[in-house]
Amino acid sequence: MSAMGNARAWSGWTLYAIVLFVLPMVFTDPHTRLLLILITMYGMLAQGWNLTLGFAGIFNFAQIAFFGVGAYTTGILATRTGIDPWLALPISGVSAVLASLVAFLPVLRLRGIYVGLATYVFSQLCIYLVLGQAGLTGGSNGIVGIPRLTLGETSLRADGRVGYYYLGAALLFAATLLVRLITRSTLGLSLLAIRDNEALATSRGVSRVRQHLIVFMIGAAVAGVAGGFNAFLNGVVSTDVFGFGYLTLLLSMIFLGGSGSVYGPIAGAVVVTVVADALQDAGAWRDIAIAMLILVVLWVAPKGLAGLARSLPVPPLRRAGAAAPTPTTVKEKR
Amino acid sequence: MTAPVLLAAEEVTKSFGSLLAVDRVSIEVRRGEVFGLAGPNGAGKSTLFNLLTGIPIRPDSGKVIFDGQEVQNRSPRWIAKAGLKRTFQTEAVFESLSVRDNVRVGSAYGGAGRTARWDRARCAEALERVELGGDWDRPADGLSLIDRKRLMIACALVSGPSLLLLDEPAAGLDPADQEALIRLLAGIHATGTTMVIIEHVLSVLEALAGRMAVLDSGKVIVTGAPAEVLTDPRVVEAYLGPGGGR
Repeated sequence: MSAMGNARAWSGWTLYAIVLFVLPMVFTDPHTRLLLILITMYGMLAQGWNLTLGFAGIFNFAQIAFFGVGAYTTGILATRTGIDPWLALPISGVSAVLASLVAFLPVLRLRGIYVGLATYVFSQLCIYLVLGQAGLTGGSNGIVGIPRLTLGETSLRADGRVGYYYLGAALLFAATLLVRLITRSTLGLSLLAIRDNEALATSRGVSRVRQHLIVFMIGAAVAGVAGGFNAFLNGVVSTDVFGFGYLTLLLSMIFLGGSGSVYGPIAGAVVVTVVADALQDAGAWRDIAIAMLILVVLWVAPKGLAGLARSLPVPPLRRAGAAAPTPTTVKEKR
Repeated sequence: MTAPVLLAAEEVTKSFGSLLAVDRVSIEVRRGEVFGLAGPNGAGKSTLFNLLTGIPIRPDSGKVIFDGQEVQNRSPRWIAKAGLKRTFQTEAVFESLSVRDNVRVGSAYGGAGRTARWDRARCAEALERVELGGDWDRPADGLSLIDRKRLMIACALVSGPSLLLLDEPAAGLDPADQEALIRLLAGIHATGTTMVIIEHVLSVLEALAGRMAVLDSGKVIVTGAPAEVLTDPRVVEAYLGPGGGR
């Protein structure tokens, strides 16, 4: 990357960190704080899913299952063992990675929408597994009484859950950085190559199975940690975490923000969370309104909010950065 | 002295249901030569390329021997990393990537090593070698036909293949671009790269190939020097039908 491109990237990341840091100081009421926390969690989850769905082009509907596996792992560890609750978060990521190895099996042989069907079935199987192991998972009652996270003597719920916000913001920042690093790496390059033309990519020495497995596992790890975070935030886990509600909500965020874009899913998470909250008294009309919003945005900008942003005039400094020999896609540069 | 055989297909056969697409085909490609493959549409040329590279099919029977090793049961990735690279009949490029990133894919993954590392200098060298000028950060999906073909060749060349299989490189080009392509391929061959070229534009094979084979209905009907092969009555009949040469 050129020096100017580097400077721009650093200033962008610094600004992003500052905004995440300052937000709870600007929005101090508990309700808005909760919204901010949800945005960080949804943003993180959307980032992980965007890796497989957006960048790799895999119709992976198991991402919600990885979220659920992470949530249940945290719930079980925090209530059934004496483990340090903070350790439950990374272990949730690991358990989701293990689940992803099973969910990946259909990806070995299937393509396109068939992968979508098989991975969605995996999510449904997780529900039956949870219900069938009621002694461990609480069955249909779920797991309740998950202890709150504390930092020393201070609960993360104190001061309008500001601790949870900063934890969520740190995880979102890390997830965004991870996705950015992947898209700039040869792994990211190979994912786009496979998505564009699998036969050509294979003839150039790229292994579809290997690259897709790697990104599947990374996406699952992010979702698993997000699930663990969700369990600590709510204090309960139920089979709702595997449900269609989360799936459609997350898909809305990704498509509204722009799949295959690093920052789009975050924008999607902000818009969908805020709109959904504003319309919470509208009953069924809320979902209809969100669906209409997504349709309008995709009609005006098929590549979502990120595509809309890219179509804006490009300042000269950005052009200088775009000329650098990085694996950044042309889409990203536009 | 005859150069050693780099690629050999021995009695390679492939059928799709009741259609025998490639019927006990045997060819030998010697190190350093340009070998041509011709034949009417549906003769099995591209299927044979797919069988040689394992993309996306494997032979029902027969052997493919590349650089002394049987490869018919190897993965396409293994074959590619062993040094056998190909291009496709359609001008396939990675459309969401820039010109430079297209070549980076070949550089990072096409080499023999296990780790994906790209070589900036070799990418630039490959793009210069195919004479693909202009801004290398421009989108690949906006390239002209000849430039897409150049890019596809550069992406194959960047990892230094020992054998390059080109599937109809001159298809769709006007005579001026065909001439440019012949010069380009002759230049690549001059640096020691062995090539197998499928081509309908027979002037390309006449200009480049030392030997060639003609396939018809999945079988090799003639093998030899282009001047002899292209005047062979069996070839004329394959293209024009019985009595077509009269």
